[in-house]
Amino acid sequence: MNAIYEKPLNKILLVEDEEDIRTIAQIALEDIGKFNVNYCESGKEALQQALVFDPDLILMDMMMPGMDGVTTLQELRKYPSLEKTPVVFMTARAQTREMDEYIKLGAIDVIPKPFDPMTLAQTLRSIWEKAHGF
Amino acid sequence: MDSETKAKFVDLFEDYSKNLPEKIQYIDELAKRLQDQWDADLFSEFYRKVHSLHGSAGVYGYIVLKQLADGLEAYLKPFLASSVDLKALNFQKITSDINALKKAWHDTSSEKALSIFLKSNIITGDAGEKNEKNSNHRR
Repeated sequence: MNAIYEKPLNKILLVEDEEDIRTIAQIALEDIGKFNVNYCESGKEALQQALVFDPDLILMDMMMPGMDGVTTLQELRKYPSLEKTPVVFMTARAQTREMDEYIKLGAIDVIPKPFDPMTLAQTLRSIWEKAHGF
Repeated sequence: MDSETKAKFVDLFEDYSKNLPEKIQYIDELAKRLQDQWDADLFSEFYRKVHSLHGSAGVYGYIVLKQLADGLEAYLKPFLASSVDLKALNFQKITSDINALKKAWHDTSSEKALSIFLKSNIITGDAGEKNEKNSNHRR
């Protein structure tokens, strides 16, 4: 069992450039999920924030201007403190083949867009628990 | 969901709905500019705006808009690859798809979208479909 999962999911870094989606995801995670959420709008900001915020999990959009989700994940992994931080991608156009590719690259799961704001928090908890081996 | 959270969601929905025509209009403008003069950066922005609409419309309960944007995005996606001949881009199809987006916005009842968004029948009751047909369509 990986030590990184041996605690309840609490701190989530939300990385999403689209304000319409970021705001609703933030409310869903904070108000419904009762998580401690920090957010940012780009991969570059995610690198900076992740180092300071030390999230339990990063929920990240795949398609962002500048660094996309995959590039950001690869950059995150260069920092020892973020080497094992679980990353969950959100994407609107993922085929099964692409989703498998994201998992191979180190994401622990992929949430398709549109996501359901009412169940987003529970979905993340389930992903976390599955990764924990509950 | 408590009433405070629900109020936040409803506010977000209203903001999103208010700005939707502008988003679709911008997509239309980008398509027209691309048709007049090809520009790779402009095409990337055009694709991203369609992608964004695809992702957000579904979250906010605008299912038909989401499906139409999905179709347009699927058509555009291969053209992001540098090896694809951009001359093959069919602007007649793109214009037709954008017109379908506009029509879908016009025809969709915001009450129904809100009901889907909140996953509840509180707004429209069980007669959601009927309400959609009879609701105050925009414009």
